[in-house]
Amino acid sequence: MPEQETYARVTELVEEYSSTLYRVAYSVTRNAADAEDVVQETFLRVLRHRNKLGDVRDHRVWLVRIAWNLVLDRKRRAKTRPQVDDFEDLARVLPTGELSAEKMVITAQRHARILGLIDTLPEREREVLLLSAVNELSTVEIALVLKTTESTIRSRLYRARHALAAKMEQEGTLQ
Amino acid sequence: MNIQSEIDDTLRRLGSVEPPSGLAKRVNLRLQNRRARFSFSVVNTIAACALAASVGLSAVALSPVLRNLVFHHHASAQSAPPVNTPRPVPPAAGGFGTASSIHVPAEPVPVQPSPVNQGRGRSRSGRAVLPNGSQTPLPRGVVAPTAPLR
Repeated sequence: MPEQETYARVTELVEEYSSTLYRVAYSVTRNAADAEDVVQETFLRVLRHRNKLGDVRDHRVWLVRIAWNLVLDRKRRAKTRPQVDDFEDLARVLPTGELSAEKMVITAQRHARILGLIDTLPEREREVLLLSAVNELSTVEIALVLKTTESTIRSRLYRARHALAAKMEQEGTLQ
Repeated sequence: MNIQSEIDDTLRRLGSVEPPSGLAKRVNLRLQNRRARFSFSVVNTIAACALAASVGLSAVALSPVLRNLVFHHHASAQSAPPVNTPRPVPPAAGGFGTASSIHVPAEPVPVQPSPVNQGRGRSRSGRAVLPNGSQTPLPRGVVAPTAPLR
């Protein structure tokens, strides 16, 4: 593929998938700036490995896998907890529909607690649960991103939800 | 609201976060900048190397001293006969034999032509070769049979 054509293709990929990648990154970082950095870094990687671009069959899965690895790596290196305590920020970012300001904060607080509990789940279950939150990704695609089978993803998802529900019951999150 | 629907709600909200406006445009802009910087640095490096080379060559061509050093020294080094230059011998420890062991000739001693320094005596691959008709020297203490053994 000629160089100009490659750059044009990368520009198209940015237009098409940057929102999906942002959501994937945000599900882990829960921080807008960090998520945007991950999207940026993902496409820099694409540019670096642009010679592989022609061989990739599913660009979405390929890009999500790059972003996912980057965001996990970043989280491991930073050793920081997601900023779930910033309820006002979460209320601003997470769509809450037509709610009053007070209800929005309460809802965001509740979501933040649940997200905090998700972070305490075992790594494999947590990863599947977070990726399943991204609407654009099917179970098959999650399996491709995590390089495993679809049935494994389904069973991990079931275990994750079961464990999370147990934790929520234990902590009385709904009260 | 039950627990499962609460989980669904949280995940749905998390997965439908809207990216800040102009995200794709910003990413594309930064990628373009990065590309431009990369190509600029490549051009800069090539230009700097070319400039340095031309400055060096001009200096050699214009300066008589440098020209003498580069060309004449090289030429004289190629045409000079092989000589044994005296090598400084470190003084022996303790002072024994210092007077007799060091013998520094006043003039460089020309090397006598021998098969080795004239390129003979060794094949191109580095193996030692003997001139035709000469007998292979035998190792000491080994008796070679003159006739085939029965």
